[in-house]
Amino acid sequence: MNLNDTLKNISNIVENDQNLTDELREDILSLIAEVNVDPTPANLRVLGTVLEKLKDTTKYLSALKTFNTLNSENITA
Amino acid sequence: MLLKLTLRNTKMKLLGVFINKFMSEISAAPVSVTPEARATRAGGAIGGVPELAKFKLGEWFNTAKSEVAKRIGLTKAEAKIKGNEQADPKIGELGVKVVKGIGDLVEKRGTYLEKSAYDRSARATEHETKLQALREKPVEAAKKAAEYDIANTTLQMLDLPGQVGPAALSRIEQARELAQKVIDTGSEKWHGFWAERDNRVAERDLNTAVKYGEGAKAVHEFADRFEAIVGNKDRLGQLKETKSTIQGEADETTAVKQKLADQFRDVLTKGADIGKGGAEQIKQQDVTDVKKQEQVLRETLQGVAKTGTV
Repeated sequence: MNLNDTLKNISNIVENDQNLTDELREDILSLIAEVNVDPTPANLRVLGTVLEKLKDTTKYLSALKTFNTLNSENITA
Repeated sequence: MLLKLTLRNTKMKLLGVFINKFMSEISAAPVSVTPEARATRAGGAIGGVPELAKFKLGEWFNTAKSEVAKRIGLTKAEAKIKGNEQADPKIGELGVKVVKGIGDLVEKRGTYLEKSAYDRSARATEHETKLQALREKPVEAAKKAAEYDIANTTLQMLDLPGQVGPAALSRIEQARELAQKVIDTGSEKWHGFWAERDNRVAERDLNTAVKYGEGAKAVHEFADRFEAIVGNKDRLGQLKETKSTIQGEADETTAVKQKLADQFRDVLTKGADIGKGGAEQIKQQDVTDVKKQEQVLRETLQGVAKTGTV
């Protein structure tokens, strides 16, 4: 899979991520588009850093949601 | 490359350990019943657990919000992007903007979840308040049951037919058991988010208890009425006397009627010997007498029937 396809796939995932706000989603898509136009190693590193944090955030939010659900159950236990 | 992958795996493992630890801390916090909470519960107030949960939640969310950037490494990521001088400035700015946006998103989500947790806690407290009020009701129900018990004793003293006493006793017993059940489960089991549902069950039980109580009360009232009749000897004597008199009158009336009927039959049979005019006269007179006696009889019988339903 070439870089163009990879970025396209990532864009699709971001577009369907319901956890993101519209503004954040647009910014990420713009960043991907900009890097796609000028895919230098330094620019790709910026995108890589951002996507890694996004991945961690998704995990974090899921954990947060899980904690909250567990909390509900514990309160009612 | 291998070293990088190993480092990355180690990092992820550490993150996993951190999340697990964090999760176990948070999940454990609200249910750890402290001696204070236990004492509060033992004292009858069941608000201890949600209050404790609320406290822990607040503590946790405050920590989470203040350290969120650090935990996810957003500050570090921002510094890394800014330090990447070879990157296109526009891309760098956009990258920093996205990282900040991620921070805002997490904080907003955290605030939302915090609010929902507080709302839930508030609801639980509200349910407990309702429960507390509800717990007072069974005491009234138990008092009623005791009153009905006294009523039942009265019934037994009256020596009424066997079915009445035991039925009332059974109902009173059930009312008491239900009231006790409400008290027991209310103080031991019911708290938190499902309190509302349990409240409905308790209300139903209480209603049933009251219904049984009312049934017993109705029996008691019946007994009162019965007692009033049985206990009033004068009235009873009077009643018996009246009935006897009426019965006597009825018997007499029957005899008179029979006698008149016989006479009438004789008149009709012997009419040919007496002559047409005389026969008609006698006949008319007898018919009037018979009718009169029939009216007396009818009224007497009505009187007997009426008195019998008192």
